[in-house]
Amino acid sequence: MDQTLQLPNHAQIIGPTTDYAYKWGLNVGLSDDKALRLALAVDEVVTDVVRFAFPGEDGTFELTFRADLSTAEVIIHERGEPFDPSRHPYDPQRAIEDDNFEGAGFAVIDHCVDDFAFLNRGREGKEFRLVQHIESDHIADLHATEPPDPDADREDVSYTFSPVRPRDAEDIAKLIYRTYGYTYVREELYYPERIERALEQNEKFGVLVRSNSGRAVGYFAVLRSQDSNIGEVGEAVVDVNHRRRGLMKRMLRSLIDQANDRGLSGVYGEAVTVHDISQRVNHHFGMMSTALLLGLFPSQRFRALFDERTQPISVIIDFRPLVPYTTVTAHLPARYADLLRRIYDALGVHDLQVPPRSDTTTREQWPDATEMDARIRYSYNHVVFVVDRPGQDLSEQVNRALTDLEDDSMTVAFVDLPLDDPATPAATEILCENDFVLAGLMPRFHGNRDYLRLQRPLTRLDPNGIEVYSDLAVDLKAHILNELSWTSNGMETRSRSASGATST
Amino acid sequence: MDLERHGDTLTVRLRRDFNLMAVRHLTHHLEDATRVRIDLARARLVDTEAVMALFRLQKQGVEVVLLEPPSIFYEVLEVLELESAFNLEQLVERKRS
Repeated sequence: MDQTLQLPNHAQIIGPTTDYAYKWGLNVGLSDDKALRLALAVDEVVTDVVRFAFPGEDGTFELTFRADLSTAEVIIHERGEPFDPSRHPYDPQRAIEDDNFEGAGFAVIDHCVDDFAFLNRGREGKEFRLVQHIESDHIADLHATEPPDPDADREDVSYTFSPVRPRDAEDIAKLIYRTYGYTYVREELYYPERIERALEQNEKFGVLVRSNSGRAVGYFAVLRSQDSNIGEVGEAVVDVNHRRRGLMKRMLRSLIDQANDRGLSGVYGEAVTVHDISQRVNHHFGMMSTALLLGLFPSQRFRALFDERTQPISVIIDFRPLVPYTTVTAHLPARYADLLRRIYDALGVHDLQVPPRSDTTTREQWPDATEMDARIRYSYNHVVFVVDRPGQDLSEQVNRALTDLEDDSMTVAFVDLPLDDPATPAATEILCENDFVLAGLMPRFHGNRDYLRLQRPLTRLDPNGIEVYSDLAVDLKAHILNELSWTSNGMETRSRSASGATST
Repeated sequence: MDLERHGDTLTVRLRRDFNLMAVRHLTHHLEDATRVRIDLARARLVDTEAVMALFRLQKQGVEVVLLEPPSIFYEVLEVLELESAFNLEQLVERKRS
């Protein structure tokens, strides 16, 4: 969960803010050294804001502290005078000879943090983003070798299924490492400490399968969303010696039961498209394909099971509402209305209210500035702009942020637009004029509201490396490729089922 | 920040980080001191404002002595390539054992 401080531009706040950043860093798992460097970077940015952002006047700015299991990020957002740090590089000779230290603070920031991004948000001001990667011991360093599996060749193995506990963390990391080597997309699963912390903080819950010998042979978890009452059914693994025994399906059934017990309003899966196995399992459990996200994860080679493909990995969002939809009011953009109606229908929305075009708003009616949050996943090379309220500068803000992120080698940019907002149809048109195309529906994704997700791939992908399963996924892929004018060999096979339904 | 003045020597004991606020306090109390001793034993951080202040004091002919600066101070000097601008042997007083 984000923590946001609103601060005045007074020098007195520099010390307490720096202290807070240091303590917060320690609490989210940074080492003392990294927390200290983060605190120094915060000190430098805050000092710069206090001294220069609001010359001669009072102003306020915000600090947002955001962390996940592998990253600690501090976002400093101010709406003061225009400024671009890249135009003010530090020059040591100039400092010594002319007593001109311009850019010194930013040189120190660059040195202190793992990632430093500056986003110019136009009328919405500027954002300085300071990121530290949270270090912990990799499972390969903790336990290089494991004894052979005594149950490997047995047919009569019995299994126990139990809820995951923090003390299972090391066994989970070993299972991931044993099964995937270094190729599993979710890096945090190689670090027992991070798994333990997530379980202790109730950020995820799951099921662990042990064989007769007590060895962990299957794991499946739901990761709670940080800004909505839904969870991602992810982090799935079954030991290669225990596959084709129905463990995955039994774990998923148990997970959905646990999610229901915890009152989640829905669960979703990010099923990779280098194969369709996960998509098949998701559909077996009543999940419906709602979006195709191109290049969401960096290139990985999948060991053993699949052939080797090395392009960024696209995923299908499969969603299952746990609390049934009742009436949904959605301002569907005309160009995507048919597909979105079919997705809603597959999700069991029988009363979809689409207000008439006259109820929508146009750009001229919007406020000057867009309210949106940029969620940058540096390790996955993508950014999601979650729009709370579109403003006249929507495309300007998005394009400027993408320019500012050019050095971070982003693979894809997404924009989430709230479908209950009458501005969404016109906002969609504006973004499509700026090379965005459909990604799909993100049901109940932020604050339990439905969002339309648009995407702009920043690198070309081979469509033939994107394997999809359900009818809806096939249609999403065809629609998206058509919008992008990308061609594939059209070898996708439709499932035998009706729209989006299961076939296994 | 605790301050003591003996003749033309001002001794400053920081209670926290050496940052913009500390620099402003120091500058405010400097008056006509020609020697400043800054005890940094309780400072975790020394930022660029502090480094600039030290540079300027030195340039004005004020003799500056630091006691127990945190290790990040040396790193900041290195990043800013300012080691040559300071005589560290004179600037930092070795802790007596």
